[in-house]
Amino acid sequence: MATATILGAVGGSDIELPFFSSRVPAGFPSPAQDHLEQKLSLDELLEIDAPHTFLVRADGESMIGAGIFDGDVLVVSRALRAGSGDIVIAAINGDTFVKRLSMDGKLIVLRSENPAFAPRFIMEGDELLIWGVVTASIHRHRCHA
Amino acid sequence: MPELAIALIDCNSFYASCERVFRPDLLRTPIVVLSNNDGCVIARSADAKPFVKMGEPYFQIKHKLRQHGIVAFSSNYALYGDMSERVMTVIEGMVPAVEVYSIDKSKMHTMDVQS
Repeated sequence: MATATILGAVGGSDIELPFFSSRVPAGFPSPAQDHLEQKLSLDELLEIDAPHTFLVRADGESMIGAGIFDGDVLVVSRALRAGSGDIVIAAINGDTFVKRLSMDGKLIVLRSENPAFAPRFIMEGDELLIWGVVTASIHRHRCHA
Repeated sequence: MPELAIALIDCNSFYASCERVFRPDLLRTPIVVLSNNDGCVIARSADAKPFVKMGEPYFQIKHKLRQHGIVAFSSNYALYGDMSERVMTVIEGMVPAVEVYSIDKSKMHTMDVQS
């Protein structure tokens, strides 16, 4: 079962990166193509500085269908109201998970995005806390040397 | 001339509440936060208040904590400072002016705000 580890405080920085408006071409980019339009800050893009943003690390394989892999860092908002279809950080009876929330009337189900994992139906007597809504996930394709 | 209103904001059991945010498993467990070097109790969650007094030395109440299943945390001022900043940012977004009553993080009144 994939669990979620709530990471500590988020520290914002003011680093702004150049943002290129044109799409990355598959060939060698034209040297004339310097359409440097604006500066983009990752803090701003991911709302890292916002007081409601927290980072959570996903552990396990249960959400790979949603593009969330083992060890990915999730950007989580605690200000959004979770709706059906949202990927959420949920605490069921004290255990924390990353799951897709599905609500149909009174029926609440937390679904994995991997056929190997069964959906978790929330029963009477279960204590469910929706800790936050996942707004972005950060996946490393290559680690530091 | 519009009437000036002043509101005082004080977070409940602030240090204990901060710890609990990151420990959803302790949602129903009473918790206390200890001063530097685990000296004495400086914050109690609402459900710990009937059993533990403010300022009680940790070494004297260990049995009591065990008896009532109360979890004790060493203080983590970096965390409380970060959470305090988040609270202030939210409040600042809602009112024209905020006066942070005390930023001194060694005091328990870190969270008092006048606006």
